[in-house]
Amino acid sequence: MNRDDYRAALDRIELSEGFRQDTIQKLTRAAGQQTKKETVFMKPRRTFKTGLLAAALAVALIVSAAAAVYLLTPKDVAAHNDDPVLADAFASGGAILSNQTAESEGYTFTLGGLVSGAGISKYAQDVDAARTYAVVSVARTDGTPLENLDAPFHLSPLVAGFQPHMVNAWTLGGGYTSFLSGGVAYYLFDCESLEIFADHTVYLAVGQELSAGSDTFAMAEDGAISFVEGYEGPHALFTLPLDASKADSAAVDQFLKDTGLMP
Amino acid sequence: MRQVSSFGTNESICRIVDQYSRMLQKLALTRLPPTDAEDVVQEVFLKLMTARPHFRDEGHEKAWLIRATLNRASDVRRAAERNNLPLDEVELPAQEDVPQLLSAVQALPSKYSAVIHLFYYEGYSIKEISEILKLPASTVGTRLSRGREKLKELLKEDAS
Repeated sequence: MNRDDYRAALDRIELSEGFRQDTIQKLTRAAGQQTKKETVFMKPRRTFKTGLLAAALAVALIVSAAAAVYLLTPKDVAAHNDDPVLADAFASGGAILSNQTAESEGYTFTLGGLVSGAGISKYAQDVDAARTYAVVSVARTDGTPLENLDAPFHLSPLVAGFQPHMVNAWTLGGGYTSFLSGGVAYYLFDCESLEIFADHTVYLAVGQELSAGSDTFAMAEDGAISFVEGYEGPHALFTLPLDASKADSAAVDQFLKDTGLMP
Repeated sequence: MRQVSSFGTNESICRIVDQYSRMLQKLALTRLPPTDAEDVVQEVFLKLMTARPHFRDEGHEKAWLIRATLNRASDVRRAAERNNLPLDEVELPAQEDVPQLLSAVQALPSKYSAVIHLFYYEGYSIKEISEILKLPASTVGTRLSRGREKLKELLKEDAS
């Protein structure tokens, strides 16, 4: 068969006139629906069945102020996720361990820690761009065990001074895995590196229904972000202890440009 | 590295549509009539948006789109089969202005038409095709040879 003949045969059939416009419209609509319809920023990537926790895991005991709740460390959470690379990263000097807690409507949220870097997860070793990984646990404040993840929490970073619809889990390519252990829900969240924003206040919001709209978050005149007054449902807003020296304004500009959401 | 997991911005949507529409349409045409081929291309883009895979580089992205298009086009073709005929006996409905050569390629089993197209239209080498389709190079070579033979037979039949 002659290559030129074959090419000529196919090239005679062009895309229909309205194809480009129609396709872009459909994709744009789908992109919008993907955010609104689920009223969350992203879908969970994997959930783990209970009972997978290996006996060899070393469990660190962290006692909350309100009740005795034994929490897995970020390293343990990564190991449970079958990611020894990330577990090592959480054990390294570059990780930021935290014990921030917040209580809301019968739940205690704990930010276990975070770490940023490129290739620091088994599931992203061929990825050149840096990502941030954070661990949040959710337990009932009275100590009664959570029994399932039927009403999961969702997580999203936010950055002071940037509208939530521009900087959030979806625009940052975020996702999370979750599992139950010992009656506590653990969330391992990751997204594009948050360190570039480190000269701003960077938050990690947790809630059962999160959206990028003004029905969920408010921004004060000074750029500080909070949940709107009257927001219903258990929720927490952590401030991430990032190293301001790692901020990268050029990378932030490029990120905003790439979102296509700049006016 | 381009992270297509952020696909969904206006800029990224336009880039994907402009960069790949034509290529994927031609690929889908090896299995389907023009209107169905365009539908498949749109469906593949939507799948890219929802799946949000991570790509090492543009080659990786292109290979993913090629495989997704071939799979989807074959699925659509199978669903259109009449009377449970084996795939290589299915005749596509008469298509106006579809060149005879393309009709013959459409009549090939998908395992041959895919390789024929990637070799003759896209200009990939056997090694490159084996990487895209995740097949051994020897299998690609065999399919290319057999595809050419079958195509000759089909074109002779049409000519007679």
